[in-house]
Amino acid sequence: MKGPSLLYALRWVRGMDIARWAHRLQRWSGLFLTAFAMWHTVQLYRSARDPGSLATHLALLYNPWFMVAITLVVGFHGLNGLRQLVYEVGILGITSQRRLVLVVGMLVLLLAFGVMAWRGV
Amino acid sequence: MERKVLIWRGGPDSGTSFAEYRVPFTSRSTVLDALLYIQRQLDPTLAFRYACRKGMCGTCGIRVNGVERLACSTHLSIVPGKEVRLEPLRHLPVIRDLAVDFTPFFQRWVRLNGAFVSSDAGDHLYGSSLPEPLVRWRECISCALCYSACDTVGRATSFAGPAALNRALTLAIDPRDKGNRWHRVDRIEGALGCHAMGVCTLVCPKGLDPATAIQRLRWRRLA
Amino acid sequence: MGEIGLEIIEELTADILILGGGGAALMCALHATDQVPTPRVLLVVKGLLGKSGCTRMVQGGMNAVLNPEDSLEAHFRDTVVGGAFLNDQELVWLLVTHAPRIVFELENRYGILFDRDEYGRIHQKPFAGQSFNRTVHKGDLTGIEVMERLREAVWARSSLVFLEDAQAVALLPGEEGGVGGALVLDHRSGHFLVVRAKATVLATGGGPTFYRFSTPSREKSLDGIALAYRAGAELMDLEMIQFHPTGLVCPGSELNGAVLEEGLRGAGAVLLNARGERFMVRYDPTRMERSTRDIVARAAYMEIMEGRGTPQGGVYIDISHLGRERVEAMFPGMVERTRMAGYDLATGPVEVCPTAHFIMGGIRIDEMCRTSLPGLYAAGEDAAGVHGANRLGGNGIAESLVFGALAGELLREEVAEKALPRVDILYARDAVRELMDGLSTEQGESPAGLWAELKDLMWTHVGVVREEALLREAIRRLEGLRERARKLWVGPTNRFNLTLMQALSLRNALEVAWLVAHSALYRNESRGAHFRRDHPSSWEVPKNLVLRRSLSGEPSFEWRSPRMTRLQPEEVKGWSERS
Repeated sequence: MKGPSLLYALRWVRGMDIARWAHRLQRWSGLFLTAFAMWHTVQLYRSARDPGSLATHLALLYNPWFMVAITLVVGFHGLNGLRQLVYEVGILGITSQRRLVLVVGMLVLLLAFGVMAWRGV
Repeated sequence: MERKVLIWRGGPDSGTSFAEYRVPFTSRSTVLDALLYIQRQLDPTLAFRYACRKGMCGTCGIRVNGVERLACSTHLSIVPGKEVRLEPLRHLPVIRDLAVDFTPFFQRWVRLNGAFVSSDAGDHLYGSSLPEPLVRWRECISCALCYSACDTVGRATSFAGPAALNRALTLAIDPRDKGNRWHRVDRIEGALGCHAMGVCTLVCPKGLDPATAIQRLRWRRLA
Repeated sequence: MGEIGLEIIEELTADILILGGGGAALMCALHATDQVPTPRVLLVVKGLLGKSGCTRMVQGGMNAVLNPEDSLEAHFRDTVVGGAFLNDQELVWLLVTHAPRIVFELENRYGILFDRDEYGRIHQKPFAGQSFNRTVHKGDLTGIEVMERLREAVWARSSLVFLEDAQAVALLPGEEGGVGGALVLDHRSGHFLVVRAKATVLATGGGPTFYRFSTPSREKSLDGIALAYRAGAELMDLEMIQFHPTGLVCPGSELNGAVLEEGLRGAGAVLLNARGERFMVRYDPTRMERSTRDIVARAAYMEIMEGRGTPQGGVYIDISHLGRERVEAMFPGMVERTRMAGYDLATGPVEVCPTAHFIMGGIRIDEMCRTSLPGLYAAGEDAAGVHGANRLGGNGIAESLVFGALAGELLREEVAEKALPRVDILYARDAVRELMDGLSTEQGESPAGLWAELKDLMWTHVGVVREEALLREAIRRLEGLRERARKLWVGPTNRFNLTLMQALSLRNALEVAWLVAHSALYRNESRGAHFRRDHPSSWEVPKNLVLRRSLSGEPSFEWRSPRMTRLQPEEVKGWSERS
């Protein structure tokens, strides 16, 4: 049988598999983003009646750690989603696609570091 | 040299319990050799499957440290970690210990209409070869490793599974076949249900690529 | 022994009961149910349908006359000459005449795809002992292609019912001295079943696994032949066991004995003993390594037995002189397998030794696949007569598929007229009790230990080269083993008990081994695969050795003339010089 590549070898560690995790994270990040979008919309509507609450809300959104968190979530969901789309239309084979998850991960981390740098963390 | 081997023991209703054994081995010993050693010398009650012992029949599929492998084709020396943990394949009813019932695997295959339908060409023999590399994908030994590795198979009991869908592709490109299966393939229970995690391709002992086969079915890129 | 059900839990009925799950069994099932009205067919498979057995493991291919420059007469002649005229020529004629249409059927009806040449015609490769290149194949895994498609066809046919992990332990007497069905042990539930059937087909695939080195799938243990013997059917030429010359030497691993295909020698591989000599020069200087299987196997065996073998008991095969890339391209499956065993076919020598591969002998049948017992049929390796004293490569899978199909077609018509026989339930109950008495959770011998002893004994005493003193000793010691096997320890467990399966297999193997040793002793000549050091020449007139269990329980032996209806030895140039 074929020998273990890095991606394959990771599977030997109890149940961990890069593509399965990517799939799970996509679902969870999607749920989180939906919840966030709803909450964000509700907050904006509220702020029309109560200007003070808008300031609180914006303060939260501008919080550097929150920005990093949202970058990670949106970044991953978006880039991974793009990766999935690219696979489904038939560009690149499955092994390249699995490797792309690592690329996506690295890009997202880069983005997060970028945000951290920008916000002076 | 000796290795610690943990084997999942139980029946269809038992909980998880692992039995521990110490097995001597050489550089040539496979997991199947270890299983036979245990059953013949240490514990006659151990149950597992085997037949050809050379990777052709697809009977001895199990999970080794969580990864689907053929027991006869996996050397003990390459399994990493302190212990070798053996568990039955997933998504198949356990008969006992590592021996599972392959019926659901084959039934999903049947429900996909995954069998050749003759056009009764009679005496005429098809004149040329099928396109490479898809011809290679006919070499599936129906070992169910990909089926076990696929999360979607576990979550959706009507999902046909990678092996069956791979067969649907090799039938789709076979000009002699007159079967009707696109209505079974073009739906959630067929190719559309795949989430493209690609673990099936990773575990195939024969180097086939069911994930790409499913991708091609989705887009009808049969050439 | 309370855990395995003492009672017969269920009684099933069928029009056709097929014991087996390989090429012959599946072809029989499919052909029996190809037209309406379809008979009720039940398959009882020891392992998994279409996955156990040896049709699956065929690497070489299937012989069939397809090319207009070839002829049925040539295929016939090659087979009969290869079989040293011990063949039943009517059966051979059926084989060669039906093989071509079976090839068409496999492709058109079941979707099998054989390799094509550059003109788009079916590619037929050369194989030893044949006058024309007629071996149809798919790469080097013809068996997988054939069995996967047949398996698919059986699963898709809802009228076919099958039981997997179920083993027939006895044939049940029906009416008028015939066979009315079988007693089956269902390993999944641990219970017995009685199956009544209008016709019972033995297609368990022979499988001489009672040698230290053997190629067949590990669950095989000559069950069909043992069952037929106990039921009183006639068996024939059991001493004719083919040893393939190049099996992997991989001690301590189940890979031991796994076959390396003949194509290696055809492509230029050399055989070397431990001294590095190409020893074939002493056994067949003209053809060297490209000699026939029996000669090469004997040569290797003698080198090893005379002390010129490797410490592990083998010789070397070496094809690395062709260059690594070429070897990897030509024999990918084999290269991978040798690497699994710690060698590398592409870059160096691989240790091999003769390995028991196929049993030409078996249950005597006529051209309707009928055995000497009414209601009992046999097809495939279980049956005797097609290959005579030595089988040609490519004819094995041909036999299974052709005779499986013929049996299915013939039985479809036959059972339409017949009534379901009554079976003797008391016989079945007695058989169960007797079986249970011989198994224990506490005492008795371990089947694994006895299997190992049996394999070693057969290898040294009833192996590639035989002689009277060793055969007599073998018979004596086999009787000792059989005595010890009367009480086998199977451990305390209920369902899917591997030790119990090994115990049942052991009993069948011991029974047939004893008959093989007797037959080898009776035949004091050398012919085909059977070689007697003390009688190295062949008789002028070929004779079949037919045996049957008599009422006293002992086998009775008889010499009979083979049916030589189409070709006489005198008609073959140079035949008399071979003896």
